[in-house]
Amino acid sequence: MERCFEKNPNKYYHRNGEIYFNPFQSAQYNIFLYFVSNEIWKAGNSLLADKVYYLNKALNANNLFYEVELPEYFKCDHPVGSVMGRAKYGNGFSFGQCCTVGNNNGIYPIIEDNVRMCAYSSIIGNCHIGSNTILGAYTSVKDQDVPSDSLVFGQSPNLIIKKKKE
Amino acid sequence: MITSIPICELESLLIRQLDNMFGLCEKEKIIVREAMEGG
Repeated sequence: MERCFEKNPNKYYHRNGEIYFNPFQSAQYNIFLYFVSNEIWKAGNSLLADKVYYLNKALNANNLFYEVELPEYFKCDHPVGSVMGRAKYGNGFSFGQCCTVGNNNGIYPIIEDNVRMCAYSSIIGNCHIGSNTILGAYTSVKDQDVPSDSLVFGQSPNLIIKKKKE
Repeated sequence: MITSIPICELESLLIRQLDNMFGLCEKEKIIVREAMEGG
């Protein structure tokens, strides 16, 4: 269980220099249940993985399917309504409420390390999102690449892409 | 790692939640405990 949180910079996941786990911190329990369902699925018990996955959906109102390989450490802040599809995710990925990652014509995105999705943003289809990029609220990227260290706003194909300041 | 409740209570919390909602057999309870330890 510790691997879920040891590298996560979230201030609520550390206390006095140690990893801190509180199942009543719902986002933390959300991540924990994803890893438990993923672990059970990898062990070959799909029915039990379904139960843990369904419990996670019922408690947290988001969709972190156990077959989706979310990165070793990721972060979610009040992630109600978010759906994370079968993309390739980099470490440090984070998302807020009502975010979507999904396919277009069967092609899923590639998301590099430390990408942050603000509320209501989406990454759909044949996208390659560079590392350290932030998608602003309501941003929708579809079948379009975004370079590393970007701030992105708007909707494809009319995205506004700015270079993050050092 | 520090936990807000003891690990044994955390295990029983999850197992109770799953059992109340969907029903768990004894074998499934063991698998959940192993998955928590493995994760």
